Amino acid sequence: MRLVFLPVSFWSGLSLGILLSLLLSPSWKYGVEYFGQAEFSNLTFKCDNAMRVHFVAKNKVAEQPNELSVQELKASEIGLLDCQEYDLYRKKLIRWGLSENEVSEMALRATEAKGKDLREVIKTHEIRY
Amino acid sequence: MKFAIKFWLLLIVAVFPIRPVFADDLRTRTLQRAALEAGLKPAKSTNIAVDPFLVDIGKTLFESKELSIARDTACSSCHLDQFGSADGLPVAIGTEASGFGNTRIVNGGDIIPRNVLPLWGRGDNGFDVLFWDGKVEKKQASLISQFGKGVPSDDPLVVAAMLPPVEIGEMFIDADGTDEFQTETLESATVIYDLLIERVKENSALGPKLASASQKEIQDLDFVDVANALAAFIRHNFRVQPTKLHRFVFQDEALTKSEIRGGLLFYGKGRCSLCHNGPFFSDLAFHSIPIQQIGFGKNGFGVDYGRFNVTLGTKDQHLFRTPPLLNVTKTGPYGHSGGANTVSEVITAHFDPLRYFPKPETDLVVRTELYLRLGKWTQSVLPGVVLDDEEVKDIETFLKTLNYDSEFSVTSK
Repeated sequence: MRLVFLPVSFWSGLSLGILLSLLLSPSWKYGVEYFGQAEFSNLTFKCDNAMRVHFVAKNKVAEQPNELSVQELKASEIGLLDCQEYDLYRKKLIRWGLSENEVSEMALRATEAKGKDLREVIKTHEIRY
Repeated sequence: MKFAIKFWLLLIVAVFPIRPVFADDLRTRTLQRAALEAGLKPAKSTNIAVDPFLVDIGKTLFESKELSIARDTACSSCHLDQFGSADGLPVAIGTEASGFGNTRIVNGGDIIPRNVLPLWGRGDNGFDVLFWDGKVEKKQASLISQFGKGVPSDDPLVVAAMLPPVEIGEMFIDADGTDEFQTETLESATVIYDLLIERVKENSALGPKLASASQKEIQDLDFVDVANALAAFIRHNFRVQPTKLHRFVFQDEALTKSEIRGGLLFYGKGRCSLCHNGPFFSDLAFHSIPIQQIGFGKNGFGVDYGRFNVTLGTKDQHLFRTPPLLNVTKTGPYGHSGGANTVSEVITAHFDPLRYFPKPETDLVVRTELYLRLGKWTQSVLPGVVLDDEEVKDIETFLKTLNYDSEFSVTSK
């Protein structure tokens, strides 16, 4: 009995497996994006903010080279750990099966989350000199 | 089957680690280095040795109501163990009150316009600016205080200990029969000190022990000897002792992930350590944080000019000394008039002062004062700090690593 049905079961199982993987792969990715978006958006903002704060702090040291400015710069350097947090989460999403392209799409969604109209999108994408 | 389970478990562990180990190590080392750079020192390095006999009588005096003219208030009425050596109230209730904590409000008493300051580290080396407005301050060789040139000691803590017994409403009752002493002059204070020291001399539980500890004859005792003993007790009992953070930095004891996150926020993007630095987590300088003003205020009608009251310099208006943070999570409410109830609230007020306050029904004078304090605040390093509620909680968790207990338990009758 087994000898008869085993090959049939094997090929059906394999086909079913392939079919399921083809069908479930987008669902899996959608799930990862859906559940990961809020945290990713939060980390994207935090890293962006940390970079801006660090940039301003560096300029402040150049403009006002005093002890307080230096301390502020050092604090902003520690703040850049937010970007490491962002990077680690990005890598984690890739490990969970998303491609670079899909993660970039999530980043785009994060930056445009607060866009109420087209002007916000223009602000994000316009080329500035 | 067992092999299959092991295989899948190993795969999950290998493929989905929550955070690489190197990242945790980086955070640990960064936090340790940041704490050292911001002036954290081994706890003992700031301690000052004191005479144990003075500490002993100092404790008795600290708990004694004999130091208030009406015999109704002791130092320990408002500096209690259960409130981290403060009183658990927004502003202090001094003379004519009874009980502890909220009971003092219910029972009624004289309201002092400022939040009671805890005593941690107050007697340690380098803690030279005392009170919210720095009304006692040691600057190089000189000591600035209300005593002017007649300063009774070159130890700021001794000078500070002399003030509450003559402060109206704090330990000196504002009542009929005491009007002649309420001139707020050095002459009035001297008369009160003379009355109090005579009382101490006559008290068999206090006089002989104080004389012996002070190495004086009992008839030669002055009130400054009482202040010396009080200072010795405060210096010893509330000295800086090793906290979890000290052990983390100097002995590599582990902190939790939340404590490390909070610490990195404290020294990093929260910019807390730009003012809360040094061995006491205070630069002992003066700043404006727009926390809600509670009560009548030192200048009346909901106004408190803070440091201005000491220097009369307009640039000092609305500035208050950076509060040290040792044991801070035990000492709420927070702010010079206790306008923030919780640690989270006071942290938030530093970078987002309008989150909880003012409300539409807030008094116009309080709102106007807020605008003035906001003006000073905008010149500080704090505007621009963005922290979410979870990060504020992490900072609060980190602040708990600054807790420790005093050596003696203080009792209040």
